[in-house]
Amino acid sequence: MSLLPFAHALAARQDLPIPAWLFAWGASIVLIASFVALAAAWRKPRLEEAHWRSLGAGLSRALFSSPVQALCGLVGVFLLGVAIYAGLRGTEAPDRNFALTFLFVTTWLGFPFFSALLGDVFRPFNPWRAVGRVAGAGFRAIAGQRPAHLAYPERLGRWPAAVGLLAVVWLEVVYGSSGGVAVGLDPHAAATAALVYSGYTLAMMALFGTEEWCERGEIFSVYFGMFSQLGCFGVEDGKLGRRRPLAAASHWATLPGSAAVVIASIATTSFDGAQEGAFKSAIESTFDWLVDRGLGLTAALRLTDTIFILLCFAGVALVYLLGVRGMRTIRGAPSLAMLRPGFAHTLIPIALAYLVAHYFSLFVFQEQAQFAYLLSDPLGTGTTDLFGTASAGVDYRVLSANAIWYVQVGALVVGHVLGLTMAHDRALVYWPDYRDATRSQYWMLAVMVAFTCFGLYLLSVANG
Amino acid sequence: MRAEATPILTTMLPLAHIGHYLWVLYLLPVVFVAIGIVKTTISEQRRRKDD
Repeated sequence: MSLLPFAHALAARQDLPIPAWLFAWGASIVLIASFVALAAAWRKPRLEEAHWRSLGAGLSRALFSSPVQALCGLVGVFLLGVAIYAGLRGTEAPDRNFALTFLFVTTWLGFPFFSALLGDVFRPFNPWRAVGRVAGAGFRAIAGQRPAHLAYPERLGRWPAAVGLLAVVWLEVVYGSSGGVAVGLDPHAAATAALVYSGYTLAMMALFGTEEWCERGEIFSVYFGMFSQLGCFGVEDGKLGRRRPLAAASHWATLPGSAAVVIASIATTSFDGAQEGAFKSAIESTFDWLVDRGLGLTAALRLTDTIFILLCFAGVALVYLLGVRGMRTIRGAPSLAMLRPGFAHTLIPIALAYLVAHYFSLFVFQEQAQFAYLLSDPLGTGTTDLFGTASAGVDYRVLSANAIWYVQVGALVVGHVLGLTMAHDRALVYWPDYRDATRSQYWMLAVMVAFTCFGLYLLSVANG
Repeated sequence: MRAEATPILTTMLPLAHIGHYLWVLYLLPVVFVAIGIVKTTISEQRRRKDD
């Protein structure tokens, strides 16, 4: 029972009116119809300009005032501190310890959703940014000058964040699965990793500057910031404003490594969804093969999962590159070096759709635990009851199996239609003749249909 | 204690593993779209040559 809250495919058996595979056919038809509609009615780029409008100087002044920023930073540092303390001092049971749910569900899954809706909400609460800013201000006060930072290597771009994203998921689903359970990550290991990451991040901030590192290398800032580009709220010149939805994303992928970040997001979610379903037999065969070659059980399991997570990354990258390569066949096409990053932002809604589809039910169930017994008894030792809810449970009846499936299908369809729309809009920039632009997007349509069907297949196997 | 294989069981058994091939049904829309793209691209190229 203790592992139940972390099982991603936690649901009673579905009772669908039609076979699950027919949903993939239906979703494909929706995508093809959207493609035709875009070709007919969307003939000029509309997402290149964000059309940002201020929401009022008073609101911005209040939100970005020093006391509010300091308070948000303090909240972030406090919560990170509680998570690390709970991880180090609390129970080893993953579902009873505040640390794992807070780090891997509330933060890792919650911020992408809320960033897409409300803008970059992580930025003010980022504990490392808060510490970095305080340290920088302290240095200025003592030394009387700004700290001298190294110039960030341009070619590195967002690659540190992409590699870091793979590492975070590796820690959770590969290193953590060494016990042969859905999520077996020891809270102590999670807390230690958080401490190591804090040291690394603060060192990088000292080297390259706090804001520079948050923009390019800090995993959580880059990852959550990527999803915030989809929403209609954004900050420009220190002012909060409203903008055209999806438009901000069109200029997000200009830094090197940005495509790798969004591809890593899709790949890691795919791997997590497939490891207990679609890839199960292949993973088991590889594991047996490695064990037969004399590798220890834990090492073989970790190596197998690492191989498959990298294969997922390569597979998603290959499908995307095939789509981009296909566009090169259209006359007047820009160079591949331009096309490759040029369409990377169209994968952001797909990454969000994959997250919603795969973790929506986990998030709903586990947040009940977070705001009930985990907050009351963060260490999970059964000795504290801060809010009187330590004995509360999780109500698994709030979502039926069918409701979860419909949310999953809806998320995938909406995400891919948005991706298709963004790709069509970008094509109109590269090919001013809308007919050429539409032809170039035949390949992106294939990419979107492939991702949709693959996503639904993973979910149907995991749910089945 | 083993049950005798009835004619109906022997007929059904080969279908017991059909679930392993359900992925084909998810691949078909991708194949259809890919075929459509290739056909459209070829016919457009021919038309352009004729023009």
